[in-house]
Amino acid sequence: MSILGRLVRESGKFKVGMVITLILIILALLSDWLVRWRIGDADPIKAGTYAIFVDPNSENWLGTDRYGRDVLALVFAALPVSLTVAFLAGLLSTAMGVIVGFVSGYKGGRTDAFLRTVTDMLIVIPTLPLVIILAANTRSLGSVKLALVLAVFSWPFAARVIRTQVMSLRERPYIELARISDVSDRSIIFGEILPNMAPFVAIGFAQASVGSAFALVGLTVIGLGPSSQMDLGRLISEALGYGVISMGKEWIFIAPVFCLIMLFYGLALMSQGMEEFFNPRLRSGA
Amino acid sequence: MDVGVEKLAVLEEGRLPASPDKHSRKRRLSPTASYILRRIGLFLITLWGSLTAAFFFFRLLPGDPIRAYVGQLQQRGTTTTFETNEAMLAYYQKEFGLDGSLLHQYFSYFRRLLIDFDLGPSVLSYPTPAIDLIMRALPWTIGLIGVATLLGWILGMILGTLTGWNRNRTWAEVVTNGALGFSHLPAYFVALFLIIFLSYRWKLLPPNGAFNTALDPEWSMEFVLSVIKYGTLPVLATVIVAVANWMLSTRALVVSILGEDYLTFAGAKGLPARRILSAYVLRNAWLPQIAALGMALGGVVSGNVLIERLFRYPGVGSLLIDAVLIKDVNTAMAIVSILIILVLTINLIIDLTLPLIDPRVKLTGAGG
Amino acid sequence: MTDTQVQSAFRPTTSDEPLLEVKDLDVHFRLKNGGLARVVDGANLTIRRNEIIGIAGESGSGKTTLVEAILGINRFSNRQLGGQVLYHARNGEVMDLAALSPHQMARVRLSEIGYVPQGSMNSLSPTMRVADQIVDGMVSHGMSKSKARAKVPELLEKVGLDKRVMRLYPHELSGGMKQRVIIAIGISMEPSIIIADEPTTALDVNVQRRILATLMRLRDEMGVSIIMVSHDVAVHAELVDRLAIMYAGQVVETGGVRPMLKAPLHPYTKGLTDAIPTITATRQRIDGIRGVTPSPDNWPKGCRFHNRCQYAMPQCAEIPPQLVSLSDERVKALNQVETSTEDRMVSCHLYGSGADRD
Repeated sequence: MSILGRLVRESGKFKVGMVITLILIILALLSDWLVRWRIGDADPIKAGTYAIFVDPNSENWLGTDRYGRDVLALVFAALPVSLTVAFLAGLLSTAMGVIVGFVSGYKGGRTDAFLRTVTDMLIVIPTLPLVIILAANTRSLGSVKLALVLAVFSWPFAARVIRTQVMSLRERPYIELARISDVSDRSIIFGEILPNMAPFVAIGFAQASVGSAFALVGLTVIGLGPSSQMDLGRLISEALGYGVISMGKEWIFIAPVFCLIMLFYGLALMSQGMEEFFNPRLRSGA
Repeated sequence: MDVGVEKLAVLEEGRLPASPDKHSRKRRLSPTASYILRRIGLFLITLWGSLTAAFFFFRLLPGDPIRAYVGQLQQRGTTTTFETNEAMLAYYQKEFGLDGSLLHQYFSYFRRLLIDFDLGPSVLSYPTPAIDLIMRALPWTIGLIGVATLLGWILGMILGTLTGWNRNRTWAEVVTNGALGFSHLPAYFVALFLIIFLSYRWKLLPPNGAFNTALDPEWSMEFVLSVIKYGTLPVLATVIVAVANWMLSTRALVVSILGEDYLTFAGAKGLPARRILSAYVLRNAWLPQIAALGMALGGVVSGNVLIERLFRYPGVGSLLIDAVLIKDVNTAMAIVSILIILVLTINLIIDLTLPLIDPRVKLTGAGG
Repeated sequence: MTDTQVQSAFRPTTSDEPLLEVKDLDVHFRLKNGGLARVVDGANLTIRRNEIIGIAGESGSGKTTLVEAILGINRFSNRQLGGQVLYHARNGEVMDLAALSPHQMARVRLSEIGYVPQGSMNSLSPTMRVADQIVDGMVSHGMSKSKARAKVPELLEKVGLDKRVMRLYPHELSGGMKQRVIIAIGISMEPSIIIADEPTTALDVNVQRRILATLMRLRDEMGVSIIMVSHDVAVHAELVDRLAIMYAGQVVETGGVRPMLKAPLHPYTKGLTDAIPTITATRQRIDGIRGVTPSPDNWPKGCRFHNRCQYAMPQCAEIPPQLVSLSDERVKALNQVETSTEDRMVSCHLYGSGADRD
C-alpha cells in the first residue's frame, strides 16, 4: 500500500485521475439515493413524469427530455450501468490479456510467436464492426454479455503490456538464477514474477477499461447497446434520435457526454500516471 | 546475419577479407529478400487467420441466417417465384454460400471472396450483390480515412517535433497540454460538438451527407467543392483527435532522441541546430511513426464507422450499420472481409516500404 | 606502426607550451530543492601541446562534467559556469572557451577540439551511413561536400578501418569499429586536442588495447594533444604522459604519470594506485579507499578528502588546500624516489600547500 501512497504523492496525473474516477464511482454507488433525491419515488426511465422539453429550472436542474423525464435523474440512473459494463469489460479483458501476455512472454519461442501474431492481428484488423455485429445479433444483451463481447476484442492491448514486462523480468539476473538453479516454473512465476507484475496488471486494467468504455459508448451512441437498460450512451443516442441538436436543446445530452468524458479522462490519467511512475523512462516524454 | 559478423571481424583487424566466400553467399538470401519473403508470408498467414476467424465468427452468430434472410425478404415484400418454402430456402442457402458441410462452406467462402469476388446478394437492396454495395461506398470511406489519417499524421508529426524540440518553451507546454486533453476524447464526441457549433449554431458547414444532393455526381468543379465542403466536418472530427495522439507520441519519441548519445555527439561535432533537427532527430523519429501508422489503422477504421454514422456519410461504415440494423448478415460479412483485406494490404505495403527507408528493419525482421 | 605494440618506442617530446588552461573552473547546477550541486568546483588544469594527459578519479568526481564544460556541451538548463578555459589557437590567439556563444563554440568543436564521447556505442545515429556522419561534421565547418567525401577513406584508414566501412550503418559495426569511426570523426578537421571520455570502457580488453594504440599513433602522426578521461588507472599507465587526479570536483594532483604512480603524493592518489593489482605484488588485500565520495551539493569543509583520509590533521577539516607546484627536490625529499623532470602539483596540507595563501 505504501506504493499506492507514493504513486498518489508523486504523480499528479494519477491523483487527478483517481479523484475523478472515485467521484464517478461514488455517484454510481449512490445512484438510487440520488435519483430519489431528485424525483422521489418516480421511475426515472418511465415517460411522462414531467412536461416534455422543459428547460433547466429549479425543479428539473437539467430540464426534461422528449419523454418528460428528468435528465439529471436519468443520468444518475444510467451512470452505474455504464461504469459496470466498462469496468467489467476492463476486468475480463485484463484477465484474458494477463493470461495471453504471460504465457507469451514466459514461454517465448513458438508459443510466443503464435500468440503475438494473434495479438497483433486483433490490433491491426478493425474489430469494432465485429463488436457491432455481435452486439446486434445477441439476443437479450445484458451488461455481462456486453462486457464479455467488448472484452473479447480489447484484450490484446493488455496482453502487449504484460508480455513486454514478463519478457523484461525474465531476463533479470535473479530470475535467470532461479531458472538455472532448478527452481520450478511455478515458484518462479508465483514467487518472483507475479509480485513484480502487479503495477502492470493495474496499467493493463486501466487501459482495457478505457478501451472498453470507448467501444461501449461508440456502440450505444449509434443505438446498438442493450435495449433492456438505460446507460449514458443510450441517453445520448436517444437524444440524437429525436433531433435535439436541430432543436438547439443540446443540454439534454451534455450531462451524459460530460460524465463519459470524465470517465475517459479519469481512467486515462490514472493509467498514464502509473505508466510514468513505474516506467520512469517515459516520464520525460510527457 | 552471421556472415556479416564474420566479415566485420576481419575488418576489425584492419584487413580486407581475401575473397568473399561465394558458396555461403549463394546459399543465403540477401537480408532484404528474406525480409520481404518473411513479411509476405506473415501477410498471408494473418490474412488467412483473420478471414478464417471472421468466417467462423459469422457462422457462430446466434440465429439461422437463412431463415432470417427469407424473413427479411418477405417482410420487405420481395416477390418470390418459388413453389415451396424448402425450394426457396435451398436456393438462398446456395446464394449465400451456406449449402453443404461447414468445410464446404469454408472453402466456398474463400473461393467466392478471393476468386469470384462475389459474396452473394445483399438483403439491404436485394438483389444487388453485397460486394457492389460495398464498392459503391468504399471510395467515400477511403477518401475520408485517407485524408483524415494523412492529415492527422503529418500535422501530428510536425507539432510533435516542434514541441519536443522546444520542450522548455511555454508555448510548447501549452500546446502539449491541449493535445493531452484532446487525446483522451473519442472522435465521435468531438464530432458531436462540431455538429452543434459549426453546423447548427454558426451554420458554416453541412451536418450530414457527402455532397449536395441537388448536384449531379460528376467531375465538375462545383461537385468536387461540394464534396470537400461536406467532408470537412467528418475529417475535422477525426483529425483533431488524431493530431493530438500523433503529436504526443512523436513528442515522446523526439524527447527521448534528444537524450540519446548520438545527439550529444552530433552537437559535439559542431553541427548547426537545423542540421541536427533534420538529419538526426527527424530521421530517427519518423521511421517508427510510419510503422505505427500501420498498427493504428485498425482503430482508425473502427472509429470511422461511428463518424460515418453520425454524419450520415455514405461510406462502408454507414452501410455496415444499415446492414446490421436489418440483420443483413451477408452484407455485414462482406464488409468485414473487405475491411480486413484492405487494412492488412495497406500494412503490408507500409512494411515493404520500410526497409527502403529504414536500414535497421531488415535485420530486426517482420515482428518488429 | 604496429597497433599491437602499445608502448610506442619513442615519445615525441612534449613542449611546455600550454595549449589549454583550465582556470578555477566551476560547473554548478542549481537543484530543484534550491541547493547547488558544485560538480566541478575550482578545477585547475593545464594541457600542453602534443601531450596525452589523463584525468582519473572515481565516478562522481566531475571528470565528464569537466571535459563537457571544456567542449561547451550543456545538457541541462540549470548549469552555471564560472572560471576560464583558455585555448591557445595555432595562430597565437588566446580565447576563453567558457565565454564563447553557442554559435562560436560550434565552430571551435571539431576544428579545434575533437571529441570521443563516453558511451560511444550509441554515439552514431542508427539511421545514417557512416560516411554521411563523418562528412556532415566537415561540411558544417565550411568544407565542400565533395572534398569532405573524398577525405573519408583516408580518415578511416588512419584509424585502422577498411574504407568499405563508410557504406555501412552503425548497427553493422562492432563496438571497436564504432569507436574507431568516432575517432575518425574526431580527427576529421585536424583539431589540436582530442578529448576522449572513457573511450574504451565498454570494450573488451583486446579491442581496448588496439584502440589505445591507435590513439597513441594518431598523437605521433598528427601532433595532437589528447585528454584521456578514465576511471581506470591501468589505462592511464599504458597511455598517458601526464596524469591529473580529480576528487570532489577539483584537481588534487598532477604530474608525470610514472613518478606519480610510483610515488603518489596525495593520500587519495595513493588510494587509487593501491587499488591496481600487480603481477609482482605479494598476495595482499586491496584496501581501496574508505568511505564514499561525498555529494556535490554538500562537499565537506576544508579539504574535501579529510573525512576519508588516514593522514588527516586538524587543519584539514578547516582550511581548503591549494593546488601548488612542488620542486623536484621537495618531491625527492618527501618520497625518497628518483627525481622526475615533470613538475608536480598537489593540493594537500601534508605538503604545506595552501598555508601560505590562506
